[in-house]
Amino acid sequence: MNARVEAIARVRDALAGEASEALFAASAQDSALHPWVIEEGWRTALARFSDEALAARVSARWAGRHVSVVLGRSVVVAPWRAMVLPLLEGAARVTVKPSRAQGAVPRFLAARLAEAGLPVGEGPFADADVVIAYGSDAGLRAIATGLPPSVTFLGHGHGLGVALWGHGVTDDEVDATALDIARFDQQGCLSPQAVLVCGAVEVEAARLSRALERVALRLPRRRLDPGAGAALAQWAGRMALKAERVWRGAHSLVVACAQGEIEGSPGDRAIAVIGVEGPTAACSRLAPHAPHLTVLGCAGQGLEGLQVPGFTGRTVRVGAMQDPPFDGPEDRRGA
Amino acid sequence: MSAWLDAAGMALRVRIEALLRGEALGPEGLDALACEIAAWQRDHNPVYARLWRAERGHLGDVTGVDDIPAVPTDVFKAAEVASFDRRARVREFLTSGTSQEVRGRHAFADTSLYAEGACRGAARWLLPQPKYRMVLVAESEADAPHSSLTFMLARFAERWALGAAPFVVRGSSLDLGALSQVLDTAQESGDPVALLGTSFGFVHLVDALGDRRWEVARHSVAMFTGGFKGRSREVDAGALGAMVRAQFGAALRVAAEYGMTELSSQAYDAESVGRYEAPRWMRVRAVDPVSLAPLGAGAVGLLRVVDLCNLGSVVAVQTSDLGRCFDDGSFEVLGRAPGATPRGCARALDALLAP
Repeated sequence: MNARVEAIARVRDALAGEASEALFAASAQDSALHPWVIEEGWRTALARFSDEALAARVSARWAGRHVSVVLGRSVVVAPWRAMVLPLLEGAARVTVKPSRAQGAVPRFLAARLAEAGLPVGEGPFADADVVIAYGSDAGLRAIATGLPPSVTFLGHGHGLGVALWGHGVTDDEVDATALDIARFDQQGCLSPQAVLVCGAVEVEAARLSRALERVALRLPRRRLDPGAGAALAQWAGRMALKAERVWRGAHSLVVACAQGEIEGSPGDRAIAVIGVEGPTAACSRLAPHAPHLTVLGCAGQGLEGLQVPGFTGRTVRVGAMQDPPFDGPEDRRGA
Repeated sequence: MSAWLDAAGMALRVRIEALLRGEALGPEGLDALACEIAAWQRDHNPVYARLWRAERGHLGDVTGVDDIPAVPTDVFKAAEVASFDRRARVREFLTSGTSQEVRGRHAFADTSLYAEGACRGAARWLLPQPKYRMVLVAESEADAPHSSLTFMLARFAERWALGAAPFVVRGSSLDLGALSQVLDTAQESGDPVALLGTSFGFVHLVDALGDRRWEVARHSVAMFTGGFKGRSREVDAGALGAMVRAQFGAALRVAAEYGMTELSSQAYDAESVGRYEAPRWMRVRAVDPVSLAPLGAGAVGLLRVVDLCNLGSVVAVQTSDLGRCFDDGSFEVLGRAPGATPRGCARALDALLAP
């Protein structure tokens, strides 16, 4: 096995074992997520980093080059992949610049990787040959415009996921959609921000509301601060103007809209369930968001051959929206 | 004046007016009146009916004041929250904000309840003396026709002012001459002075006056309201009170007002002790930020206001202000709820339609 793959695998095993408590503590510091959500998130993420998956990504893409990884706000597991990929791709050195708001996990991971003998450290991106940045569109623009032409820049912007329910959605699929929403409390670029349904919208939204409360028994929502609570209350009010019904659960907020455009969500398991006439109408509704759509989670029948113009993300069954293949980019714009 | 009201609405208005005059409520109390107003508004206000049905799942009546669906303040930005036909609108107040921001709108078919409620509340906590020399630290009605604060101050001036009551804010400048004239006259006559306006206006005023000092008479009062919204440097309320008293005299009582464009009534912290008292036609509750269920005394939550003078819009408003309420009906305001914890890499709400 490649030496780097071996070293990364050792760190992975430590993160899943003896170092997990420290990893979870750093994750709590960076995210305020419920400990069970953090644990589930890391368990699922690390499982993707099998020896085979790591070996499959080995290349000389960045051989001999100094790669700077500039992190924006993200779900807590994202920095792991962001650091490991350039190592597998042959970078001579990887320098990590954590976001101001989320420094604990990147620093912890960088330290563990360095301890395993990998060329990883924290620092600015001033002398990098390659800058791989994660963040908002504005943040990426600011970084890109400040770099000399000799530096290779790859920007990974924020994104969103949308779930699409055809006809005959099963209870298991409803639960799987709820799981996609509950993971990372909808903070990630793979998180569903809306559910489009071809069936009876109020009925389907009620099912989703119940499923979100069920999934919260094992993955509770983070404790919301008043600001987050106020954001939910105001969002619910605005949505109620076009909604048929609002369901306010202990761990979720679901609004059912018989029709309308896709509305963003403030996160924290607040989601709009929007009726569409059928798959063709769903595609038209999704098209304006295609450049930022990272994943489309499908459930039920009649969605075969779905074509969303401009969409290059993943199409998966619900339940796998937050579970990207390790060897596939989450944001294809920058890959 | 009340042509916009049907018979049921008129009957409600009569009962609200009686409440304002201090008459005893029937045995059913304020809660029942609030529920009746809410039901009437639901039947006359399509926006409220929609929200009511969405929140409750049906359009049936409520039996307790805490069950009345409260309209979040953001809804005033998204729709006209009016219980009357658009053609009956005579006045519209806008929330503060820049021209780029979406501003909340509160429309009125009749401002007389607003004026009456505001004056009665002020008479109790703010302006208990018969007359005052007045300086209004805000823009005039001509310059700011959509400011609810200006509207209220103008009504106060009509009722309480001795002589001219200048609005001393003129765009980005202050009319210090008009202010000096009022204060000099008051100093000679010994009349109490009322200085009323925005917190940021007072900051600019104190800065502009520099070393100039007055000693206002006993019973004089300064009232400031609202936040700073980046329009002046931020000054803690206690510090601002001290600055104002240093400028205008130790006899000055410093009061604070809690009101908002989406409401028609105001609460006062008459002695700057940190607790606001609301008139009997206004009820403030702290609610849980997530469930929106009422919280017990002393618990911090989002403030939810039931304002019976909001007959033409909605009787219950859900704010994003943090605060706590006490058993005696008073409440403390802890400022706007801090912004929600920033998200991860999910695309932000406002960026969704800007692909």
